[in-house]
Amino acid sequence: MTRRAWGPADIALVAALALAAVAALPGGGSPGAVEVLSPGGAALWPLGAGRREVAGPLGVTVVEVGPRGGRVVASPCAGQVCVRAGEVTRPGQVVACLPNRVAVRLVGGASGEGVDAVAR
Amino acid sequence: MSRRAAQGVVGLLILAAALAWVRWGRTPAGPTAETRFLMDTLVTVTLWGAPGPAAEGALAAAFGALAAVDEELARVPGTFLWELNQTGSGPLTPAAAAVLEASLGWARASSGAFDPTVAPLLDLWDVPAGPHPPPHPDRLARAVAAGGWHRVRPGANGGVDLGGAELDFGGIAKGYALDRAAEALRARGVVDYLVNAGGDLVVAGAKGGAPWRVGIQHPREPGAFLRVVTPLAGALVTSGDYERAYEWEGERVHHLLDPRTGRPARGCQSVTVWAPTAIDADALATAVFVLGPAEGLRLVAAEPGAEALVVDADGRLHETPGFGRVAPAAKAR
Repeated sequence: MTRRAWGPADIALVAALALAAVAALPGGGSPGAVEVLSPGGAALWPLGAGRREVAGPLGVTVVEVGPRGGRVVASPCAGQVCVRAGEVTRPGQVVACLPNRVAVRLVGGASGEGVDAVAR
Repeated sequence: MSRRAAQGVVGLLILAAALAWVRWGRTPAGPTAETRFLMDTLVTVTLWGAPGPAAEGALAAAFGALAAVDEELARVPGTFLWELNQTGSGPLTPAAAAVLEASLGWARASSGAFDPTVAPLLDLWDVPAGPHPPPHPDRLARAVAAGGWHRVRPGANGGVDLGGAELDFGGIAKGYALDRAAEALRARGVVDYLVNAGGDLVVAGAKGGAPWRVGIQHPREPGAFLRVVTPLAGALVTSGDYERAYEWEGERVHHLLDPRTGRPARGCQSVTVWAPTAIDADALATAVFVLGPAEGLRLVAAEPGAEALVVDADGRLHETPGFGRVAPAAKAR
């Protein structure tokens, strides 16, 4: 069997196949991150960012961003609903402290469990 | 390379170019979203389509519609509703007239389980203030006696006479506002959108060919869903005893009050209603929660187009036969 050097047509074939393969790939999503909304604006924190303090009209809300998602661990609000809500671990989930105007939402990192909104 | 092979290569190049154009060559459709604190909750408006000034304008219009309703019908100082409650009678704005008419209709249909005159009871319980003792039974009885939707009657010059009652549209105005936001989006040619006001939703179209995916919150497991659904165009509204609530001496105190007893309703943990309009879904979700699963689902069955999913006080699921049709379970991605 003899080996033949690649000609222009062969290279064009490989290029076409490679381009087609890349073009057919689904659009990529950003890796998972936690978006924190507050009166100071929106901030995107990477998973595992740890504890940070967020200022609101009532005082400081403490948000913890772990490897799986984010949660409110301390809040100056009376009801403490946001603290009891636990961790958001699926894209689309959100926990909000309405009195202190702080919200924590998991974004990106789409998975089979991801949702666009939570009816609650 | 043979002529046939060369034709194959040319064909592949054309295919690759077409795929590349689809992938990179046109304005990419995607989400345009914005979140604001509004109507005493967190509101996110998401559109799907080409980003740009038109999408930004549509978002602004939707938020404008929501804010307009809030500024008129929230029961806080300075709004139209606040002033109406102070004077006890007077002319109505178009928005107030529409919401009052719908409120009284649902009050009648639900035999008072939904009642727009619960304001004094809400003030007595003051759930947003956090854990504190419940109101004295005598005060509750007086507040129940002072209310009642049947007191509200037409007033002079097409206005209204509250008959000594005080209105609160907390169980319906958010739905009305969602409908106005959806209307504003459609007026700007937006066909694919999801408006989320604190977990009450209006939805239409899709996101790039895939349906919108909505998780229905489990009432007792934070972070867990009862199911993930892909609702048809319309509204999906949930009333639950876990959202604005606290525990007091082992009892769950929440904001969904039974206007007939003056106390938090106990028949359900959560109620999710799908309806063509959010104003109806909102009022129905509250009414069904107060009525409980059996009577509540009968009310839904009598309302054409509405469907419901109920978690009763013991955690058992009940649903109307058509709920799975209007909110089918999402396929795993």
